[in-house]
Parts: sequence; structure tokens; C-alpha cells
Amino acid sequence: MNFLFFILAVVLAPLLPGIVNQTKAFFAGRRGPGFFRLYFDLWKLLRKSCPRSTTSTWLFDLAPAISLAATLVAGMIFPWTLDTATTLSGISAVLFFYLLGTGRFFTVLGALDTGSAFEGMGASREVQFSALVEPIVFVILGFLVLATGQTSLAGLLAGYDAGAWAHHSISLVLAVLAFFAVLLSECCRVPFDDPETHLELTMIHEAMILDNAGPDLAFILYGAAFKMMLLAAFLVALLLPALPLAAPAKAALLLASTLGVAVLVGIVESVIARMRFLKTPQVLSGALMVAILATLLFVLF
Amino acid sequence: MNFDILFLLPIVAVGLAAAIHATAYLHGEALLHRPRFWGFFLATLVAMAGVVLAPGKIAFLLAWEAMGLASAGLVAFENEEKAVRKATWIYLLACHAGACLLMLAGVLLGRPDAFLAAFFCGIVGFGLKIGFPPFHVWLPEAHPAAPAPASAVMSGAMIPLGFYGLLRFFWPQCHLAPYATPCGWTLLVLGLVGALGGILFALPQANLKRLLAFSSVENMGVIAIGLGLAVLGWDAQPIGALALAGALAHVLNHALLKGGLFLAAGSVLRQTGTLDQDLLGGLMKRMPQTGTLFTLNALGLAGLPPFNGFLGELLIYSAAFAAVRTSSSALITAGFLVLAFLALTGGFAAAAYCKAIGATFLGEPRSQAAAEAVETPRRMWLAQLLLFVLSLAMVPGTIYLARLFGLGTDLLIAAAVFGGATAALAAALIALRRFLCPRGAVKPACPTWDCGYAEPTARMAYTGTAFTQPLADLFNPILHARRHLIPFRGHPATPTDAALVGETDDRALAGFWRPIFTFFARLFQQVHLLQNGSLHLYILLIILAVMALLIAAFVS
Repeated sequence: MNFLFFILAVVLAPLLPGIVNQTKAFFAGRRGPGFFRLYFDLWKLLRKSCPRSTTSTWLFDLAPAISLAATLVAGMIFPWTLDTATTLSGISAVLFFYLLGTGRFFTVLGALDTGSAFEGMGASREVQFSALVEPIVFVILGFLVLATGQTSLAGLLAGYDAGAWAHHSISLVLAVLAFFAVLLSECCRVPFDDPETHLELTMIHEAMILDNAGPDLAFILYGAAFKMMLLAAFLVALLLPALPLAAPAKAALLLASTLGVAVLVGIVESVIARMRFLKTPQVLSGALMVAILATLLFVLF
Repeated sequence: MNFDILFLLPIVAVGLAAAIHATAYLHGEALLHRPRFWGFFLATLVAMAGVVLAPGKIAFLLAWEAMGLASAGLVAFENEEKAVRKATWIYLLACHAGACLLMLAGVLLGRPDAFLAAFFCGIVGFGLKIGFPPFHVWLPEAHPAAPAPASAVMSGAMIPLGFYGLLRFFWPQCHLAPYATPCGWTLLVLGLVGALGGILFALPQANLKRLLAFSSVENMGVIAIGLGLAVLGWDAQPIGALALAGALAHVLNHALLKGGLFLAAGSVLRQTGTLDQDLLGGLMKRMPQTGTLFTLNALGLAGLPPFNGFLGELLIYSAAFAAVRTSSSALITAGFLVLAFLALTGGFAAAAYCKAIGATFLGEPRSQAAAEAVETPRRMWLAQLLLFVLSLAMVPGTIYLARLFGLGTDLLIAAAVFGGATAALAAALIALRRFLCPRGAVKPACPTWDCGYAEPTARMAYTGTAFTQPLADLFNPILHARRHLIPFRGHPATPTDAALVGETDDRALAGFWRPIFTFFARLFQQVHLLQNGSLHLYILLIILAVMALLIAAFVS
């Protein structure tokens, strides 16, 4: 059952960047590239070749595939049905986030393997941001353990009962806010990164993949879309109380909500500018403080 | 509980691999020097085994002291260099200070009312070997100075023996009621500071072995976090068992993986003559086996799935989750501290290893020596392969360990299965890629594009120092990196070379120990008032002393 919805998520993932771009186009008064642009792009890229420079080694060749594999397995263990009965109980949330970490590690190594200063710069900034994001994620996980009394990934996300949900709504909102910052930073969106360009000032994720082409680039673009799907689903699951619905209904709701998160990301991207690179650590520390505040409020009240 | 076998395993495994590596590593050395290495090397191994197998306290202390002395001989192997002599001196000092405190701890342990005093003596005494901050000063000095096989044994197998000592002498009592709180929090706080501080100082290091040495401080911190949590939560199972199993699994993982990394660093030094990452680069092409094994070992040590390092950290994380779930506010606080610090440490560790791999093995070589490097003799990388294969065996090993502690193994089995799934899926995607772009369809013909620069040189690539600069700048209030610009001289049309030199020294040495030692040195300078070389003064002093003795004799 869970696997079925995993497959559905795999199919739907490329829609998310399309929705973000269409939202931005709507705000800018453009027609936009269309919701299904990434599907066509992926199809095009899969039929191209993968050139490589004389500097690069096997790491550059294999990194996109390994990175995508780790992200997909993270999706495989995600409880799409938000149900402890239909998912494995032994799956830890730590495994989920560390698999995403493995994916990032290989992306960074693949970038460094080109020997280009641009990729080096992007990789350097990527590891900086992700290192600062880790504690936010784990404090939120601790908050979830407190709130649900569970420790497995499915248990954490299955939802608290409606009464507790109403009582702790403020700390819940704060936790969701902090995780939204994590989502924007990890998915390389404004205000942390600008996926539109790869000029020096915004050289983070886009700079790391300058030299990738063909199926490699397809793996990377798809991996980024799927990672966004995962984090959006996590965000929605964080917010939802335990609903008296059947598992398929909950999974459908979850997947539909991720599309809503994409609209939200598009709106954020349309109304605020990317912030200065040096401000990012301050904003991420702020998000950490918000997550800690959410926990403290939960413990005290 | 008996921990002997667990600590004996790394000694045997790392000792064997290091010996295989050393047979080739010492190849360039003068024939007369080699027996000196082997003598001290074998003596160190025997003494380490002695520490674990010693039947009583006295035998343990004797073996401990022998271990310190024998390994000091290894550190001093290249004693024609000044830095090596200095490192040996610091190491010997740390060894002896530690041994003194351990004797004191042994005496105090005999008294039933002095357990806490004994424990703190033990923490400092063993901490000097483990490298708890601020006692870690010898690690970043001695590890780069010693030959690589010796560093591998010292870092992989010797420093965790400090934990063995702590467990052997203090475990039976320290997890019990009145002592659990002070003992547990001491270990936990030392661990948190050591883990984060260690990896923070590892990040900006340009010397590869110094980076690895600081990352050992980090790993020892992670083990201490596990032990601290185990002591605090022993009464609230399964927290204690999870944390203790995690700490012990990390002892083994760290031994195998860090041993492999130090051996790889030794191979790099032997083939290029330098450990400065800003002068290396491009070695993955020139030394493919060493580079690949370094990458795999580093992945494991960064605690990333699907490798074994992850399972140890998973156990400690699970203990922290379990601690958060209790109703005790102390345990909840401890759980959150562990979650936040361990996560931040994990992020930094990934950054530090990305830097080590990227700067040393990827990109283009930044010096002639790196450009001309070739792969090592086969047995040097076979030794690393041996350690890596053993570390893979730690995946079922960790599950076995968890079962020994009576823990549910669902968690670990799921992690191992989905780790395997990651590897399998990666292989499938790689096969798909191979099918879509057949090998050799597009031959690499030109260097990396570099956004239009016609002839990019290796000097334009990001160095390791540049890679870690944003993080290092962010934490500069802690790191206090020194950076000085050597400006160009001469006419602007024909300038000499300019350079930017940055170094991050160990803060504990400069900021903590040096003032203390300077203070005592100055204090003892006062004695020089009596020793000024004037014969008259000496005669006067003798007469005064004799008179004082006579008066004392008459009075009594």
C-alpha cells in the first residue's frame, strides 16, 4: 500500500517545480513554461550524451546516480499513508534525513570533481547551509517525539490527536515555520538560493551542476524535484492532526497538499528577494531558535 | 560487564593492517632505522594488548605506562625534525601526567567514600589519552608527527583504550544511583564539547593528518556522548542499553575507518612528499585505489548510510529520542542537547570529509609533486581494503552487539536493509546511465569548461582552505584563525609572488595550557634568586642553614 503511493509520488514529483514556476509566472504576469515542463526536459535530457572533462573521474560519473538513489530510498521509507499499521515500524527518522545527507555528500563530491572554481564555490556554500540546517531538523524531530510519544518515522508523522493539536497549536505553528525554512534552504529556493540563475552572487546549487549534462543532469533535476516532494510531504505531515480517514484517503490528501506547498514556495519566491549570502547563517540560526522555542512552549504549557 | 574482547578487536585488526602498510611505507627509510620502528611498533601493540588483558590494577598501570613510552618512541621516529621532537615532548608530558592521575585514581578507588574523587582523577587521567578537551593537545601534534601506520594504531586502537579504562574501573559503580548524575553529566558535557569542538577545528586544517587527528577528538566526543547518556539513562532502559551499544559500536567503527584514513594519508605522504591539502589535488586519477578507499572510509566515518558508521550513530540518536520521551526533565534536556549537537557535528563532519576528499583527491593537482604521483605498492592499499571490508562486517556486528544488550533489532535491520537498497538502486541507475550514454561514446577531450576561461589552471580551482572558509569565518570567535597577507614587492609591473597564509592553531594549547605552563615557569624562576653563581652567597646560605639546624637541635 505504502509502496503504491511512493510510486505515485515518484510520478508526481516533477510537477512541483512546474507549479512553483507557474505560480511565479502568474505573479509576474507571464504565461510561464507550463506545469509539465520538467517532464519534457527530463525526456529530452535522457536522450542526450554525458560529456565529461579530462579532469573528472568516476565520482563525477556516478555521483548523480548515487545521489538520486539515496533520495529515492528516502522516499521509499516515507510513510505516505501516515499510518503506523501499513508502514515499517523500525524505520527511524534519522535514517530518512541521513539518506538525504548521503545524496548531498555525493552531489558535493561530484561538483568538486570538476576542479572548477565555480563548482567549488557552490559546494562550499552547500555544505555550509546544510550543516546549519541539521540541528534545526533534529530539534524538530525531538519536538515530534515529545508531542507524539513515538520514535519511529511513521509514528512521528502519524499525527497527534485533535485535542493536543488544538492545545499546542502555537508551538506547532512555530515548528512548521522552522521546517519551512529548512525546506526552502534544502531545496535551494529563495530567499536562500535562487534557482533561476547561476551567477556568482547566487552560486549554490545551480553552480554545483554546471558541468553535468544529459542523463546525469536529468538525475539531478529529478532528484531535486523528488527531494522537494519529500520535504513538502514531511511539512504537511508535521501540520496535520490524526485524521479519522482511511489510509488511501490520507495519502491522497498528503500528495495533494504537497502541490499546495509548491504554490506557497512559488508565492514566497514571488514576493521576497533572495537575501544576502552572509545573512543566511543568521536566518538559519533564527530558525533554530524558533524550533527550540516551539519545544520549550510545548514543555511548559 | 566485560568489555575486554571489544577493545581487543581493534588492536588486532588495526595493528595487522598497519603492519602490512608499514612494510611498504618504510621502504625509503635507511635500513638502520627500520628495526627502531618495528621495535617500538610491536612493543606498543604488546603493551596495548597488555592493558586489556592485565589481571589487576598494578599490572594495568604498568602496561598503560609501557604503552605510552613505546608509542612515544614511534612518535619520535623522524626525530631529525624539530616539530617531531616538540610533538614527542608534548606527548610524553601528557602520558606521564595521565599516569600520575591514574595512580591517584587507583589509590582513591580503594576507599569506599572517595568514588567521585577517583572518578574525576580517572576522567582527567584517561581523558589525557582519549583527548577530551582541553586535554587533547597532544593529538593534533603527535598524529601528524608519527609515521602513518603508527598514527593509525594510535588513533584507531590506542586512544579508545582510555574509554576501556574508564569502563573497567568506574562502570560498576558510576551508573548507580548517587553517582549517575555527576558522572553522566561530566561525560556528556565533555562529549558534546569534544565532538563539536573537534570537528570545528578539523574543518580549516590544511594538513591532512592534523585534520584526521582533530576528527578523532570529534569521534571520541561522540563515544563520550554515548557513554554519558548510558550512565544517565541506565535506570530508564532502553536508553542506557541503546546509548552504550551505540558508543561501543562507534569505538569499533572509528577504529577501522580512522585506521584506514590514516593509512591512506600515509600513502599520500609517501607518494607526494606532502600532506598540505592546498598543494595536493587530482590524486583520484593518479592513485585510484587509495582515493576510492579514502572516499569510502570517509563516508562511513561521516556517519552516512549505507555504511556502518551510521548504525552506531543511529543507536545514539535512538537513545536520545528515548530520553526525550521520558518524564524526567534532566533526561529530556540531555536528549535535546545530544540531538542538536550530534546533528551539527554530523553536518560539520560531512563538510570536513568533503573537503578532505575534494582537496586531496579531486580536481587538478596543485603542485608538481601531486602531478607526478603514482599509485602505491599493492599491499599499501590492500591494508586499507582489509580495514574497509572489516568495517562492512560491522553492519551485522552492530546488530549482534545490540542483541547482546537485549535490544530490539528492527531499527538496525531496517537501516541495513534500506542501506543495501540504496546501494542496489544506485547500481541500477548506474547501469541505466551506462545504457543511455555508452562508455566511450563521448571521449573527454578538454578540461573543465570553467565558464569561458580559455585555459583554467589548477591555481584557479577552489582549495580546501577556500572551501571551508565560510564556515570557518562563521565560527572564528571560537577558532581564532590567524591570517596574514604577504604582499607583493617590487615594481607593480614586475611583482614578486604575493601570498595569503592562514593557520588555525589549537586553542587549548595557546589559550589554556601555555599560560599555565608559563606561570609555573615564572614561579620557578624565583628560585634563581638563590642560585646566582656567587660563591659568597652559597657559603652564607650553608652557614645559615647549619646555624638554624644547631639552634633547632638545642631548642628541642
